[in-house]
Amino acid sequence: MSDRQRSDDVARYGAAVRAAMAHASTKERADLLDDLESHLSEVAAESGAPLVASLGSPEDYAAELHAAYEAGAQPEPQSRRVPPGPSVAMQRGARSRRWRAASLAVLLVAAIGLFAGWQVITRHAKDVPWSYAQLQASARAGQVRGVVITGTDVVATDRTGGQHEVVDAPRSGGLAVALAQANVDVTYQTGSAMAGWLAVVLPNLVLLGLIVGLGVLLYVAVRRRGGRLRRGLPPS
Amino acid sequence: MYLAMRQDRSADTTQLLKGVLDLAVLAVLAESNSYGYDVVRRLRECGLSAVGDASVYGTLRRLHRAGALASYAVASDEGPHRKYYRLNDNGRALLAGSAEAWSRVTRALDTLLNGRGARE
Repeated sequence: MSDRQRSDDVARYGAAVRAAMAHASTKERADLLDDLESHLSEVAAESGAPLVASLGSPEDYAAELHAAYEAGAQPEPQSRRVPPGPSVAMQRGARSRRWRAASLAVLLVAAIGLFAGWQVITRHAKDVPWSYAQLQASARAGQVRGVVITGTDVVATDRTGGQHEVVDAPRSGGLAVALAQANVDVTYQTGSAMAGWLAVVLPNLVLLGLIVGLGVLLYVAVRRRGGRLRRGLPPS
Repeated sequence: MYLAMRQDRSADTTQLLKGVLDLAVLAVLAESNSYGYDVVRRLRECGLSAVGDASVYGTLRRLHRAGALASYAVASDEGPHRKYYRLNDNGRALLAGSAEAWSRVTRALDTLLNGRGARE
């Protein structure tokens, strides 16, 4: 085989191998075909026979090339990457645990608050409100066990334990004097008008807290379920 | 000569070679740096007559891509530059690990086969 024939053979064979590798990625083609002709020339020079005889068909050559390039066992010697699974899952687990703890805490606070609020309300659960005149009449009749004055709030307790808010009690010290004269036990409670207001607002706040806490729990549960589904896990 | 070698290729040998070609190529380069065609020649000289050019070449490129080999060009009188390959630290570590695994496997196989031979 002359040099001329040999170089023609190399060129033809090379072109045929490239054609057979047209389906491969650009990167793979660049990697594998860069010095193809150089290699083929050496084979041709060594054997003196047509390349097809030495190497098989160009298509087979291309297939073998691709197979060896893509062979399963990818060497990953020293730079072993820690598989992302466990540590990320642990982080996720920790985060969702914190969420659960937080929402449980909110619920607990809400529950306590609700209980406290309920107590506040019921303590002020009143029977029929009295007018100031009724208070005076009852006091003179000895029917009033005691009166609690909280700021501008006046609540009278009768002998049966019923509580009566006195709606038009005068806002003056005279009230206490008049009551004392009637032998009514008067108690001043520290607190301002705020206290009454708070008694209304507090239960509402507590209810709001409960709703928020439930919402947070639901959100976390949905997120967790979605995450597990995305990872192909059963929804637990 | 090569044609005869290629016809020589049995299915058994080809299958076995697929698993160890990486190790064989790394071992050849550990002896001395080499280029594609030379690696093929040296493998065949050692007795791996069934190894194909394309397989060796693809393996070299894969090992290079994986970072086990470094390559450099050497000017050649006859024609274009030749691409030479050499082992780097990763490659040496890979060779050591693979060689150890190989000897474990061959020891196990030897035990199994010798035991079988003795029974028969």
